[in-house]
Amino acid sequence: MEEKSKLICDRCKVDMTESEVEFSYLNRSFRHKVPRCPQCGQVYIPEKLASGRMNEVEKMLEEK
Amino acid sequence: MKILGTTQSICPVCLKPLEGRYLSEAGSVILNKTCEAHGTFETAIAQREEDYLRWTANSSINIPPKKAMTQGASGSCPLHCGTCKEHLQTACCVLIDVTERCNQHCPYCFAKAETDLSGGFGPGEPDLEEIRRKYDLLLDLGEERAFNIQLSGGEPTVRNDLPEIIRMGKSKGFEFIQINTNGRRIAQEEGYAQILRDAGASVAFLQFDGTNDEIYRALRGEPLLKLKKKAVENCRKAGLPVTLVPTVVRDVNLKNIGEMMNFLLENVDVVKGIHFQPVSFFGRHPGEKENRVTMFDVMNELEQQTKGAFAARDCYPITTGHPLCCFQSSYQKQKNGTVKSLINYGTKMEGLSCCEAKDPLEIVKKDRDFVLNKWHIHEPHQEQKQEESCCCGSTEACCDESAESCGCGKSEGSPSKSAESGCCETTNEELLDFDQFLNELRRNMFSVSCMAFMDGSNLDAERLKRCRVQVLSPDDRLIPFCAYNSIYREDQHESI
Repeated sequence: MEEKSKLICDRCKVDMTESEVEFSYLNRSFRHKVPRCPQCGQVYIPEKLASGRMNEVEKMLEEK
Repeated sequence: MKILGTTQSICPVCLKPLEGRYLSEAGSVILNKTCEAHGTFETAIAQREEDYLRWTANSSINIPPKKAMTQGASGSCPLHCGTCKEHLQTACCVLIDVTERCNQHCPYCFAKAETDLSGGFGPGEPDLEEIRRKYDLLLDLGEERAFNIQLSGGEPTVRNDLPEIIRMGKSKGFEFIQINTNGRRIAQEEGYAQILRDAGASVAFLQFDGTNDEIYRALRGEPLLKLKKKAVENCRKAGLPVTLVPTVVRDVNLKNIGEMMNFLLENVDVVKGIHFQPVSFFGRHPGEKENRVTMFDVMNELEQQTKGAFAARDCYPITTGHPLCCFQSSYQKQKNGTVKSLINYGTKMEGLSCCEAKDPLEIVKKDRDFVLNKWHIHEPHQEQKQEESCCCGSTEACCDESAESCGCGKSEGSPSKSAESGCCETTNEELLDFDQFLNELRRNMFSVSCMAFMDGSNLDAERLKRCRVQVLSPDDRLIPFCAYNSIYREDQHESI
């Protein structure tokens, strides 16, 4: 099996780690596992998540 | 008395086009018009002037039909419907009357349908070839995203070939086909809801006037509550979504709205919407006295009878229609049984349901998808199913795509997208993840809407020009629903 790709935080130059983080949008909160910098807390939102689930949630909550 | 606006209306007796005036009188709004031959007519529009002014101030988006089918002299609306070159909105939903027969004989019936239980074709009923031709015509008249279709009548389920009619429509590419039904056959024939669902029916648009039999005796001539409940139950078994459609009559069921909402909440797994229709004075209705329920009456009663759980401020107009024609709202039933409005978030005051889309075709698509998404029983997400059945017990480890999906293909790199706020690490087990949230929301969300039809009394040509619910007439015209039932139905008036 291929070794999993790693992401590095561009600020802290450390490996990002998979963490469960809390998202808030329009008074609703959700959790999701995304790569997160253990030092500065910056997270990476994968394209698929942004255009997929997050987009769906946004549409549902905004009646789009 | 002051004039709030003028429009073109008709004389309800001779249909002659007349000027109609929206007047404010003691804080209420009426439509007033005078026919030289038949006198002055007035009808209620809004009990509170502020409601009328607030709603009519809403913005609108006009997307005309692809091509005009009729034309007529200026000032003669609505006597040349078809749709004509003056029409401002392409249809969202097109009705096809597949029969004039019915298995009930309701004292109130906009179609004046007569009881006829014969299984074959009734007089003038389109056969399958004719329906195929009608579908093809509608594909030609519609945009890339085909019209939504409502199979109506009469009672469409009296036709034994209804499943075939649905299948034919689906195979031709109509994504949304709703069945306008009284639910009698669905209730009485075990497995029939499944047959409709398997054929591709999108939703049962179910006549449901309230939660006690006094209401049904008044509106339908017989006690039907048990039958309605059975119809809902059979739709649940079949996974066929239901939209409750109450005809609202002032002295019959206006005060039952709160109870109807309770019924919806108890059945929110299968009932995905309630669509109030204040009674119109066309077709068959008892009594001469007009005691009109307005759209605003429904909104206000909804709020009062539910002690504010369903508030008038949650309701908004559809911008591709006329603001006096309908209201719409969406809610989620929460775990504790209370409801949460889903539209308190900025768009509602703009009355915008079809978002920031600028491309007319995109707006048309979103408009038509609106009910497709709303009146639908959603299956859990595929990913969610995988998670639940994952052999390793992990929630994400075996389907993690995060590192690959940035598209860079590198093993090291800088994040191309980041979120610096609103993303704190959490150990809150109570929080739902996106999939769980979406599934929960879809399972428990429902819409509340109302359509205020027009008849000869309250007909307003400006509203008609923006009508998005059109009937495909036997002679292949697309006629705004209210004009069709007020003027064009064969037995209404001759030779128009």
